[in-house]
Amino acid sequence: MTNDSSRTWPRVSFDDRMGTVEFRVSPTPHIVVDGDSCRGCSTRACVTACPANLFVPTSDGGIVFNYEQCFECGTCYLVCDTEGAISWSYPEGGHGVVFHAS
Amino acid sequence: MTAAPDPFDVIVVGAGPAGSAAALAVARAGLRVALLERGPFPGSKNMYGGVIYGRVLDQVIPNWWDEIPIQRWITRRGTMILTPTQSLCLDFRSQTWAGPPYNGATALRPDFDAWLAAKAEAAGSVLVTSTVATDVVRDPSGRVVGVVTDRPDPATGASTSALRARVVIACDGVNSFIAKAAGLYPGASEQAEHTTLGVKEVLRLPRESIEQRFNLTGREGADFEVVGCTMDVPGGGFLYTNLDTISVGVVLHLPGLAASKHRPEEILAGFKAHPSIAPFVAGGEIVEYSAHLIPEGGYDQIPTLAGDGLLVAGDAAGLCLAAGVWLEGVNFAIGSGLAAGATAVEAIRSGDTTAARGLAGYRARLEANFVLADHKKLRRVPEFLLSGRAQFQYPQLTCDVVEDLFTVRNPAPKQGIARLAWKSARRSRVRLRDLARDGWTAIRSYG
Amino acid sequence: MSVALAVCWKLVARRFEVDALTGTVTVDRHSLGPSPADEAALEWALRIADAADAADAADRAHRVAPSDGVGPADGVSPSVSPVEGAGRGVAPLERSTVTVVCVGPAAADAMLREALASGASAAVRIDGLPDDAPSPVVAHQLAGVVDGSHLVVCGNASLDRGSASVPAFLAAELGVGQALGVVTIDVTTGVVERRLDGGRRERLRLGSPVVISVEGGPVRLRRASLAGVLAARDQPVGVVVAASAARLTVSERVDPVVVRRGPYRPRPRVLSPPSAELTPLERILALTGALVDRSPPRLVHLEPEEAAAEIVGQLRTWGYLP
Repeated sequence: MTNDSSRTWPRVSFDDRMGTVEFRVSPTPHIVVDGDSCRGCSTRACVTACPANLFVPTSDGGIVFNYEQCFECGTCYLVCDTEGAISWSYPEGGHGVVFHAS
Repeated sequence: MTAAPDPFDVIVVGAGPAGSAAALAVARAGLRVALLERGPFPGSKNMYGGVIYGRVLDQVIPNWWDEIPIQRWITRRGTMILTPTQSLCLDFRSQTWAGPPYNGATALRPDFDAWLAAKAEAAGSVLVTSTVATDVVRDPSGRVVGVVTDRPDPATGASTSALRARVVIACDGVNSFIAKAAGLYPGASEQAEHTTLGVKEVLRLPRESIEQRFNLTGREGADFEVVGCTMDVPGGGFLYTNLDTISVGVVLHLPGLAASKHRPEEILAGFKAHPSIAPFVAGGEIVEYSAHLIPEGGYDQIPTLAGDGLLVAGDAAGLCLAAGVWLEGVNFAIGSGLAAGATAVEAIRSGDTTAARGLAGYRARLEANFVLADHKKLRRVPEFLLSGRAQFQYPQLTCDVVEDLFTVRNPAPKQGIARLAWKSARRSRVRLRDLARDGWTAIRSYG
Repeated sequence: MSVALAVCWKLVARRFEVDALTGTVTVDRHSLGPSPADEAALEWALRIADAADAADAADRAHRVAPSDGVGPADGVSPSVSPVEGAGRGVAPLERSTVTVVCVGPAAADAMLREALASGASAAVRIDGLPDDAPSPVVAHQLAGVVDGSHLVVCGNASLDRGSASVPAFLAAELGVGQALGVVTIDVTTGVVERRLDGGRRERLRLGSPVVISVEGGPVRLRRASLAGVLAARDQPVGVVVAASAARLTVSERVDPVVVRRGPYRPRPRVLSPPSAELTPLERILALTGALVDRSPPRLVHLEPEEAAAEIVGQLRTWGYLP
């Protein structure tokens, strides 16, 4: 939709974008994705909808999920078609995303 | 120290605006209230689309404007319609809003939420941070008598422990696991239909640049709400000023986002690149990127607000007003929190905390004030605003009419507005029947 | 035997921003708290206290009913000599204490309450020193409070550019032994493992009293119970105003005993593989360096400065330095 010449702000890589956010990572994951359910999924809405880009399709048709940089927003389980594919909870108290400038 | 803690009269889950307001109301009545927050400090998990309207605080914290930690007082309020190449803005300014009693303000949530929670603490609430309430505790009759927390129980060695109270007020935000656990959300499976995702960038700019770009002086602030800038996803955008940062973001309807296969930050980048937006944000260095869900279902999606021993307030109760010209959430959270707190106090004093009797006053309280009155009045708006017509056809139609109006075609003579509108309507394939029906909805809702 | 443990904490900003141009450090006030190493120090102290109390209880059970021997369900073997505390009969068990001490402003009280919530028995804050007080001064003040403890556990270094020197100064101030940079502790035997320079490690058996400093990674501070958090709200934090000269009772110094020290392992040198176009024989020659002329050992007599430069140059030639 945008051509590059119209960009007047500094380009930010996705890693740098996520680097602006503090995550107090818990040692245990708060979201577990059942790879078997994902293999049969054709929509894969989580892959594009997750604002932190944490769902990565694998070459064998599954989905790998990384919980460390999760915003804890809930988008993934709400857009997911397959009951039980995403077990979602909040991270242990005091952990997870910490907003400072929002 | 390992003995079970004294039971509280009330447990409030979540120290956001709703929770802190509820705890404040309960503590001021002299009852024992625990305020649980899952983040390390109040506001750490919270993000919003930017303006706090403080009128609701007038009765609770006199002269709140002298102490509230705000960024800027809103004196310039714009509603903008964008198409890829056009924009139309209703840009209003009032210096009345630049002084007491003020109207709205931008604030950073870690500042604002911590301030309100501190008010609740000062009134006697016990704030416990870094603690997740994972479930409700019920007595044999099914009444809610406490919550399960994720803190360990040294007596049993279990990784969770219970905290008991006579009433639990769930202010745990849009995902609202407490209300869901208590069965107050029968339509949870359709939640995506009524939920939007907000993604936001906070951009640092020199204070003088912000004031020049937005025509502001001192602590004056500007807030723009935008429709028609989110690619093929129904939603909207916002742009507002903090003291030395600006916040720019988009709000995206979840089913549309899922179907579009566009990534949220890509849509936000497109919004920032729009010719009407780009000059405002140019050169801003990203300070924080954030994302959060917004309950936009309106009146018809509000869950059951009370169960036996349980009340729900704020985003957890879907009390967020997304009605085009009005986009408000924090004030509804505070309003519902105060009402929930007052109801809990009344119920505990009467000795009846059932949904049918002791806590029945909650809904009545909300209906009697703006919280449910506004939602009821605007109940048809959310669905309309996320429809294809409001999102794509009407912005195009409106901008085309205005463009025709201001395009000088000499020597061809000028055409009347009605004729221009008719032409544009035909071009944008808007059906008259829809236009009439939407017009009627608008009159009924906003009139 | 119950033990008296002291843990030294420092209030630091766990998140801060450094302006690349001016070097100005902006502290995030929401991130104030103990360093991970300080949290680990408390966790180790709590584990040592728990182990000592468990050993005490087992010992007591053993002595009260000697004919029964140690209860079958009791797997903890008494590692402390039964002579200790003998003659006290069945007086109630004296529990070990863990006191958290911090030199810092009133803002540190919240952090000390977290320590109390996690299980520390007391908290003391030493007030009145400037933020940038040098390590010997901080150590001197800490010594006044922790004096008399069997074991002082410090975090290895604080997050705010700490130099890891306070524990050493503290040991000197107290006149006791020290073990710095400890990675793990065997809480029943008192043997610790610590890092040495050059990737080596050593194991030490600690005497008492002793000062140790621990790394932040290996253990995580236990999560406070809800009851602990609520109780800690009302627990007092002792405040001591920094005194000009604390009087210390200097005990006989017991230095740690080295149990085992690993061999010196130089850093690996990266060797690029020989070109694939060479024959196998040539590749083997290139890899082994056989048939290559070697430079004979050199003996040089230089001024210290030149000698240092020569050594650095040689290390660079060999690939030990970039």
